Amino acid sequence: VAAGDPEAEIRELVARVTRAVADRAGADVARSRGDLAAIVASEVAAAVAAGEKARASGGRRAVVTTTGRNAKGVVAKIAQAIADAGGDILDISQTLVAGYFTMIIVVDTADLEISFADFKAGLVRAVAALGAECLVMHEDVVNALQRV
Amino acid sequence: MAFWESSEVREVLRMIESESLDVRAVTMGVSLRDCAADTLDATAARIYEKLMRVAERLTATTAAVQADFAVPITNTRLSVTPLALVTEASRAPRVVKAAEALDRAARELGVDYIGGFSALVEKGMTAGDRALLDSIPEALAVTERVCASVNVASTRAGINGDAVLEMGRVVKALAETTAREGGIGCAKLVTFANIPDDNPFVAGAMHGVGEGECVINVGCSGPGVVLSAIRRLRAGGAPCDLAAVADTVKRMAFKVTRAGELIGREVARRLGPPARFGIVDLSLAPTPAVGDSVAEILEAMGIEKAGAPGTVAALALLTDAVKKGGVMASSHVGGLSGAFIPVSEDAGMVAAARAGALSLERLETMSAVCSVGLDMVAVPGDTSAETVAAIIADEIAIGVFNNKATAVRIIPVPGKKAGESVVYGGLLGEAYVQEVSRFRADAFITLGGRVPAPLLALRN
Repeated sequence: VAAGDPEAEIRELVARVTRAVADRAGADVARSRGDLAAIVASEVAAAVAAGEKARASGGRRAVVTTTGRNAKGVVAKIAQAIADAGGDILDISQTLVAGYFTMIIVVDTADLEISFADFKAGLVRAVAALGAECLVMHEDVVNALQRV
Repeated sequence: MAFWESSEVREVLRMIESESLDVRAVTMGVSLRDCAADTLDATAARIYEKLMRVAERLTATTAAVQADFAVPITNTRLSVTPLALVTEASRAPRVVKAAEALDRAARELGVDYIGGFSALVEKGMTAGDRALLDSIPEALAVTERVCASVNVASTRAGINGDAVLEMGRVVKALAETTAREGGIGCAKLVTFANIPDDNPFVAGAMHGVGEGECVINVGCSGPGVVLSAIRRLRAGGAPCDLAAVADTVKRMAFKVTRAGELIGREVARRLGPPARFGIVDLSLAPTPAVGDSVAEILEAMGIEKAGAPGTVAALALLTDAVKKGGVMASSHVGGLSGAFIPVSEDAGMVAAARAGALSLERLETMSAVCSVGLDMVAVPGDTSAETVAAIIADEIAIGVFNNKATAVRIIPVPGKKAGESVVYGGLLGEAYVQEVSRFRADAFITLGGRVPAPLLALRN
């Protein structure tokens, strides 16, 4: 099941199986063990397939950090570039210190219409005009460094 | 933020952008055991063909992983089965052609170095080993990217005194065949004790005989990140004792190793079978860039110049903390996994040597608590083969009797005297020619035979 975030996937798997078993058990307490085993097996297979799919698409989330001197329209510009590429903004945070900003955007890249490389290049280009810099990294990098 | 604290993301950004967090080396080890043939030409052809086939997508893959993960991969390299084992069946007395096959493949694959022009002679030498050793001075002069290593001792086998003496001669001959470039060939030759099978770092990289068909080994980021963390700790003004320094190093080593493991696994996954992920080597490998120096870490810890009293204690603390942080972060730690102290490749080390703080003897002592040993050390061109061999013997003994890997990469720079410099450029940096004791050990080093294995070897 281990794809981008194995821990989250295992948690998801356990929740899924528990839900499925609880639903069936509520409906008919006298079900045999064989049925339960089949339910667990099918749920595990579904979760594994989901994990494989996530893995095949190289994980789903990218972390876009933009830094530079504060300028009008940076947020609009980068948000537009993300939307144009088919990315879905999941979270934004921004800090501003002494006229310099750091903006962190988490983007769901599962439905990107262009390649990851083109997506990156597009964002770098979009903010470069405003004198800002942009680094796009796979979420796995942040997870690897900041989560045990 | 919902996913991470923004400070966490900003820390990753800072490590990548201003503290040179990177993956120092992604090294693909390739077994060439199936390339042995009954002529050297056929062997060389098989070697070339196999490397071109197995490593075809290597550099493209590391470039793609680097682009997706935003963690720079500084070097992509190859290592192969110790070549003497492959060329031996040809019964050729010289095997330079095999080195040329490695060189050509490396060049065409876009790989800057290929390690494994190697022989394992810790207990004795076969005809094939002899042919390889005899070929080193020419092979490393006519090739550009090939690196050689010779294991002359192990804790289990003891020290092969004949091989140590032979290496003194090989080093001298190699300095002469590359004399016009300051003996640069010697930068590509390492004499080892307890050579690791899975070291991703050149010049000592090789693909051990117990390894699989193809493996991806990763060398972690350099000293830059650790240096910045220690400087921040000391500048922070909070109470800071030795344990606090160790703890800071440990935390950084953890993060750096996690990045290495992530990248290594991803490269192996994208390459697919037969490539498999091997190990992460925790070594802090410096480069000549300012701020990317192990010496500067020691200085940030409070040592005035690397080599000053206190250096060994500081280095021991550093190496140990790197291991403790790294081992938690990776499921497979291997290679050399210490701190490198290559003199010419580390700007702080060169400065310390030039200032008179760092003698050959001091480096030797430091190597007792870190990897690798006397690394990229330049000595006067008139140092005799016997004295080079005796210097090698000392360093090798430290490894054998302390059950660790040690190595010697020494350059007797032709025509240069102690106190002079030679610039190699690139990753090899600038070497400062160091003084060698004027007392000699010729009568000892030419005794020949083997130093018996230490008691440490009898562990059953």
